[in-house]
Amino acid sequence: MKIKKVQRDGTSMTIALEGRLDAMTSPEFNNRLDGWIAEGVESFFIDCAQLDYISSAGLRAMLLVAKELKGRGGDLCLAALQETVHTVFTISGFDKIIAIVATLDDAANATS
Amino acid sequence: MSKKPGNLLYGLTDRPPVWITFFLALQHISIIAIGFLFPVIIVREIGGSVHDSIRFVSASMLAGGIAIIFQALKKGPVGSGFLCPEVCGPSYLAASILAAKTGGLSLLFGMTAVASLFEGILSRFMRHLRVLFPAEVTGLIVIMVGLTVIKVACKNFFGLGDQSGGDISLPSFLVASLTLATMIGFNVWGQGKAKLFCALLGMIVGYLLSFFFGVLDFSGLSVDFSGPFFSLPLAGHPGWSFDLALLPAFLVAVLCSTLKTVGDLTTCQRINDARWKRPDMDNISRGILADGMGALVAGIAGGFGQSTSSSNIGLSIATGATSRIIALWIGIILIVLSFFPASSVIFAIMPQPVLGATLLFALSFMVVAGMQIIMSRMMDGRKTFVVGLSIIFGLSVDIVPEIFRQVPSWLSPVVSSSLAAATIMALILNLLFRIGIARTAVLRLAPDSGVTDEIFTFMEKQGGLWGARHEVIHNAASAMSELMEAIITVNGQQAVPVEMKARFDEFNLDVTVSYQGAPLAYARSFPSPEEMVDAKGCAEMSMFLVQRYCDRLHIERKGDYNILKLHFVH
Repeated sequence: MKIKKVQRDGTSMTIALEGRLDAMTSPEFNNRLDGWIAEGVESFFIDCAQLDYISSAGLRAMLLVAKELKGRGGDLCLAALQETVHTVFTISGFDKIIAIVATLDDAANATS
Repeated sequence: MSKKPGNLLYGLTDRPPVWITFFLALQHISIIAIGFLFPVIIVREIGGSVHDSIRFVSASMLAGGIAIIFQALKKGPVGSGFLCPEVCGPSYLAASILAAKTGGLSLLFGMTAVASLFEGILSRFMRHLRVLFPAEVTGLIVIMVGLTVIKVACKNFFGLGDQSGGDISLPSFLVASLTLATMIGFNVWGQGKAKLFCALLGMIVGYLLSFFFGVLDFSGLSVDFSGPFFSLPLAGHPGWSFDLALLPAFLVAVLCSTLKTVGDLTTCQRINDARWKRPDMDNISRGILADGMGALVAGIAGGFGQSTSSSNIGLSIATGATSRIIALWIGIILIVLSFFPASSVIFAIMPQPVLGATLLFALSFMVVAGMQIIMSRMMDGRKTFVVGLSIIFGLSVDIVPEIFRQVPSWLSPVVSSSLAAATIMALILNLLFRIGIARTAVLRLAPDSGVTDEIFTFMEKQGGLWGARHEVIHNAASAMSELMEAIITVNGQQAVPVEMKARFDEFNLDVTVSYQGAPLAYARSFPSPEEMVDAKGCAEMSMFLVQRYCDRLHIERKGDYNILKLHFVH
């Protein structure tokens, strides 16, 4: 899985995920995001258009980040989920815990 | 339960206002009428009279009207329940000309009736014969039907008539271009009623332009109206006869017609259900029986073999109107018109360029519908050759006909048309390429490696070989990966070898996972965020998702082995 930093705007950062987020790749996901949080990032917008699969370990990784950000008064927002990935969020009920929007523009509008 | 797609203005069970239904039916009839050229062509081929043509067309109208109603029914074993108009089937043209030249119209009608019985019998075994016509074969046939009509469409579009000497007629080309532009313009940029009646509006513009440019030819009217105003479609029937030697040609025609119907009905299912996943074979069986009954009525009444119309389905897609009530109106109007022979003349005066433009408009949708059916399955080298070689072989019949002049007579039905050639080639290659495809594949995993990538790569490769649907393969790979996470979670750091055996047939994908170690249990609910932190909660989360990905999960223990059986409906 690839994690690309797209842009940083103050305490907000937009990143893009590519590939599969599972038990093997989620530790790297948590480490990278924890590093940025330590640098002062409070909100993440994640472009998931290229995220092909997320496992329960990936969901758990997302949950940990969301909890951490909430504790700092920030947000985690996912955008452009593929249908199969979106289904996982729906059936697990994670769509009620983590904000999901159709596009990155929607994410920007929602916060502004 | 099907779900009406958002792009449909009038879905299957909707009832548009009466005047809209009437004009939508009329729009469909204007495309159905193109097929009435086939009886006329055959009568001309054998030097028959104008009255023979009119009677032949009237009986074809009657058969088509009855067949459309049969097709729209959804009771008992007959009818798919769709707006899937029946027309004089191009699949029957080559065999019908052969029969008419050999033994006159009586032989044509007799052979059509006998061949239709074959389709009726075939319809009862569709479920078991599904292996013969996977998506790439039915999609290919839908494309080929479109491609085979290109010649007729372009000749009419460019005004290349028998008397033109091969020169393009500028007025015809102009009328055809503007007609097509009108249809496309209303379809692409039109809203509401304009989009709904785009084909009809284009035809009206075409008729008016034809009148101004002198392309509209009324000369046939005075001759043809000399017949009776009202007549039973069966009056003047020449009777029926049978010739065993022609049976292969008609069986090939029926086979092509049946397979095309599979493709057409698959398209109907897809466009009427936003949640469509796979062909409903029971529905297709009923539709094919209705198709066969239509051909039987045609044979008995003295009409042309009936087959579902891909062009009309193209029109339904273009307009967003698939309401079943439209089918009933079309059927009733055609049956009534069949008692008035003069009505066939109205169809006969359709100007060449309008005919050509309408065909090109409808064919665009048909060819794309065929492509969509093909691409609904994962393509691999085998399927690429089934589709590619069959199209090439089929088109070679028209492009290099000299190759096929020397084929033995028993093979002539196969190469009688590009549609027949492509269909037979696709069937043969499909069966041939099944050789060597293992229906069972085994993957052995060591849980400490990158198992998700390994599982997805394995399943995508097998899915391509099997021609399985993307969605089913993705679900299976997701469930298998999730299962591996659960196995790793409950067994801790201890590496446990896992064997995954996947078995596929046209209807099912079964994955059996076996390993030694701590067992897994069914998940009753998704764990709460607090429960997810411990191993038990993580495993429960994985098992919950596994149960959601597959259609059935069975867990058992045999000796030291844990066996998990995942079933996916295909």
